[in-house]
Amino acid sequence: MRLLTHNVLRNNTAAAKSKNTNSPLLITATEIRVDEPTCASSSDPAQQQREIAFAKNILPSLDWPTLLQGAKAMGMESLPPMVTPELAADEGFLRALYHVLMDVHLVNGMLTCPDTGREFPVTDGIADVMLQESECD
Amino acid sequence: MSRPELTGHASLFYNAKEARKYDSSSRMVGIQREITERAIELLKLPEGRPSFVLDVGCGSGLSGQVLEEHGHVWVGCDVSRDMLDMANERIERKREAANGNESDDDDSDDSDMDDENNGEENGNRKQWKEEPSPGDLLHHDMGTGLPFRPASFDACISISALQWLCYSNSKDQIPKRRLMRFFSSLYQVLRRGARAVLQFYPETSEHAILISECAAKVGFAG
Repeated sequence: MRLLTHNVLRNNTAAAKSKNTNSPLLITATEIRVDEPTCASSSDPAQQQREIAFAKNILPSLDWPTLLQGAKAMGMESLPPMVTPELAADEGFLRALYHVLMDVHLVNGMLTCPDTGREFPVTDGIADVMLQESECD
Repeated sequence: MSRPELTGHASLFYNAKEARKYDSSSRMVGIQREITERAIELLKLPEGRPSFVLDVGCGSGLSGQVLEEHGHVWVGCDVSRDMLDMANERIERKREAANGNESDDDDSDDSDMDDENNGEENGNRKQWKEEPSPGDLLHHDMGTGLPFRPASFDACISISALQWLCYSNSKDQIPKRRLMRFFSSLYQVLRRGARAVLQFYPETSEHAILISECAAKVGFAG
């Protein structure tokens, strides 16, 4: 599971919804994988432009505190505490952002809802967010 | 031949054996690819930049593969862990292929050759075969509602999956309730004005009507 997915994921059980906090899930990582950019993407300007365009488009809808928290749990503490307009326009920053969102994977671990304690295991990169009918509203 | 949906839960039908059969039938693959291509056309996504797309009922990743070929970033969810494991295998293979290219001595020559072959196969459309997959997978039952915060996605596709919501596989599953949860959560997790293209196989006209009624009730137009 990538940090991008973690950023948008929420516990949508009835119990969590009743708390009205819409909190992100806490990451406990037992196995992480960071993909290094391949030769192809490093030297291909079109691919670089695609990455920059994607990062630029997704940036406004990212929950930045969630990204900071998620990245920290995955061992990355290099993100700035907030994004200034200058940073948002900087291609180097946008490429680095793409890498953090797309290439840092939680392979095995646990996602925990801070409000209800509900746990969602992650195995082989796949998060198990299966709910029982009784948990839904 | 009876419909898969009548034999029980999707995750039971798409067990490891069925998953492999589904994924290796070239006719099935061809059909799913075509349907996905058409769905992507209908989405009318902006040119020149990757979109963030939700693939509901992504199965073994056939539709995800097509999304990747168009350069999009996607999150897929499916109720069958066996199908997801196959999708994972596909992703693993791509990643290993990409890393394999790295360890060859003459990288640039190999890449050039791949590009030429890809060019011949696909005409003008570039094949990003060497890149690891931009797809992420979730084990999830769409009838419990989509577990994302509002306005997360640029688009949604669903290929040949929705009809499963019309059947209840346990005493506590009520189709209409599950359909309403799915559609109301889908409406919320899409960005304003974003589109969803949902292809499915209704068994009866009642099912087709039920599905479109639920969609309309939560505010989807068209």
